[in-house]
Amino acid sequence: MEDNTQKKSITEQITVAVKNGELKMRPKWYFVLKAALWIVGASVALFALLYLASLVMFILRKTGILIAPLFGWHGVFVFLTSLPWMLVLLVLFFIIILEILVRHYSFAYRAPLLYSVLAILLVVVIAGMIIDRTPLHRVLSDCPSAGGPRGGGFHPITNVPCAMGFYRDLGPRRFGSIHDGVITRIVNPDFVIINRQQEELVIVITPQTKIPSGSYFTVGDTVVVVGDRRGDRVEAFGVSFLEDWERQNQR
Amino acid sequence: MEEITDEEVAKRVQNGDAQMFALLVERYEKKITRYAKKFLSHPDDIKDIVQDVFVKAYVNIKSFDVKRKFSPWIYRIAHNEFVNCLKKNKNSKLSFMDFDVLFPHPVAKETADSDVDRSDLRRMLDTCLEKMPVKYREPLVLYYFEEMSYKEIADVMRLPVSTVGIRLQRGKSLLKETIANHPGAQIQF
Repeated sequence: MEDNTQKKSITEQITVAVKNGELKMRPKWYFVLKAALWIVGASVALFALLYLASLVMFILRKTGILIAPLFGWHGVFVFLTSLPWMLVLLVLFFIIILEILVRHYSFAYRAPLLYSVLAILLVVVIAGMIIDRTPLHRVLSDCPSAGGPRGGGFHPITNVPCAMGFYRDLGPRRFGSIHDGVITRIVNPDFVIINRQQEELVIVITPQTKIPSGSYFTVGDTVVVVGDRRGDRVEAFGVSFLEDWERQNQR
Repeated sequence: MEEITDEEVAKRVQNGDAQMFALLVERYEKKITRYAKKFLSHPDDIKDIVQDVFVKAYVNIKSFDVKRKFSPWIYRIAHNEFVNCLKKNKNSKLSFMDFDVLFPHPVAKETADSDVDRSDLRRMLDTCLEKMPVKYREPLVLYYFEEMSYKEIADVMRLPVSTVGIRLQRGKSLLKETIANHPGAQIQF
């Protein structure tokens, strides 16, 4: 009997199994649902990626970290140690997830991996920059820091719940060597700034301090200072204007 | 009378004419068995593996898009089955990541071998295929025995088209080297 089964061709065995109902086709909806879940997964990964990438850009712009490398190797070191690495790693994680999900489709797998990763990076950078210029992160970051007239919990204008306390932790308080604030007094050659925590810091300018040529600081200018803080004094090795349209708008 | 195409048969199976599936099995049984024998070298249970391929094809037939060609679809199922089979075999050297997939290979365009070249290469492959690394073996089998285009092979293996080209190119060179270095493997033309 077993010999007979072995001698049977695959065609015969499959035909018998189909006839007897041992084999059943999966319904069409199963594949539609699977494809839909795949698309939803890829969309969620894309939106998470865009949100995180734009948040990284927002933090870099708002805190003036981007300016640090202009002040030489020390500045590059400060830049690298001040990057929000957790967010950067999360961005990389979501790029990998998105790449795995899109590689399921022929438009992605027929091209070299490098091309599809570069395409994702390009989309993320461009879309991230666009989102960064929208009020999204400003609204969310202002919300918890201000607390709002309703005592926190909800944004005063949008009524969006303020569950974004982590914005505060991602802010400049983390960065010991980068200080931004508004100049309140000038005591040549030094000056005094007031930072976001309403602390007064004396910025000490030395012959080694790098200042972009043609920069004349006056009271009321918003600046970013790169230098080590000791008490309320910061020995600056670089100072620059903080070109932050948001801050200027808020002033 | 014009023969009904694979895609039409698959459509009829999808619409409930399940017995028509036997026609597809009949058409592909020899091809998939040959593909399995060449890809997997000498497994003991070729028949079971090929049968599993058709079982999976039947179960998932409703996922087949009838506007596309049927053969890359069923070969893709076979490829997955064979790769799973190789993974179970601890001696097989399947790499997780391959740099061929990462970078573009602009030089690896589809080339048209003459009929004589093809038939020579097929004979060489028959002799030395099991000595070839898996990553070169499969595209060579699909190109020279199953007569698929680069694009179809790319769809079966889910690889960039240029990677298929470069693997075929390297596979052919390696095959010629193997023949030259192993006098025992010499073949008569």
